[in-house]
Amino acid sequence: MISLMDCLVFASILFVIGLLGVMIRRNLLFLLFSLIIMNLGVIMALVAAGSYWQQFDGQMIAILAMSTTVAETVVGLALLIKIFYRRKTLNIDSLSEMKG
Amino acid sequence: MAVIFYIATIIAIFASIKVISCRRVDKAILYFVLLLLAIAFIFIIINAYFSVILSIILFMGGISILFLYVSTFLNINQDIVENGKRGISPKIWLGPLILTFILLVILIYGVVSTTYARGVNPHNSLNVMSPHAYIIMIELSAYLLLGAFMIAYHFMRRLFKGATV
Repeated sequence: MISLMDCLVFASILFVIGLLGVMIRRNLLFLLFSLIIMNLGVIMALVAAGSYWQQFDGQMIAILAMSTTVAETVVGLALLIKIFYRRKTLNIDSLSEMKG
Repeated sequence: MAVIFYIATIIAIFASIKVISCRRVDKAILYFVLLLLAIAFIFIIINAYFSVILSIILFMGGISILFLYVSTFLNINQDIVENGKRGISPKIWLGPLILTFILLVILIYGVVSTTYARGVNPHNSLNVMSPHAYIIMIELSAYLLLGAFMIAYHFMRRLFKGATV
């Protein structure tokens, strides 16, 4: 039996790696990858807690988190295609026009 | 069983580090699929079979194929944003690395110092899904996916309206 503490430590490591990716990359495609990695850490923690206490509620909240991830990715990729057609680049620094 | 869990954990962490530090888009998508496989294997080890099926259908069948389609549709296979003088240099990633390391230490301290009590009366039917108790959650996630589909369709319709293909 895997202890809950190992699963939660793994989930927090995954979340922190995704946060690091959000902070260091400027490409919009890799930004979406990093957001999905953060969401995977959250899903891992939910499923591990639901499996430890033998309740189905953890996996049910994990279903909601998974559909949130899919919706976020779909909207992000639609925005990416729109930005690429308008600016011909994926750099998100090119979107700051006001310089303020 | 614990040894297999730790091997899958190490593979997942290595693959996620390669995803956020890779420069080619196709290699990043392949490492992302490897990360999803490792996480699905961890779900199998901790007896969450329903999440395994859902993760395979939604993430591997949905998201990775969607990324592959967008990267071939826009013809981007090399990351041209990050090369040059302001690429991924230690001047860029040293500050965020220190901050996220402090956050990781705080998170691991919070996880380790908690005492986990067992539940009072566990369910006997873990893998039998009751359709009446959780119908609101399923409807909520279905409406969420429908909203995302409507937003994506609206963007693409306004984008391709003037084009004559």
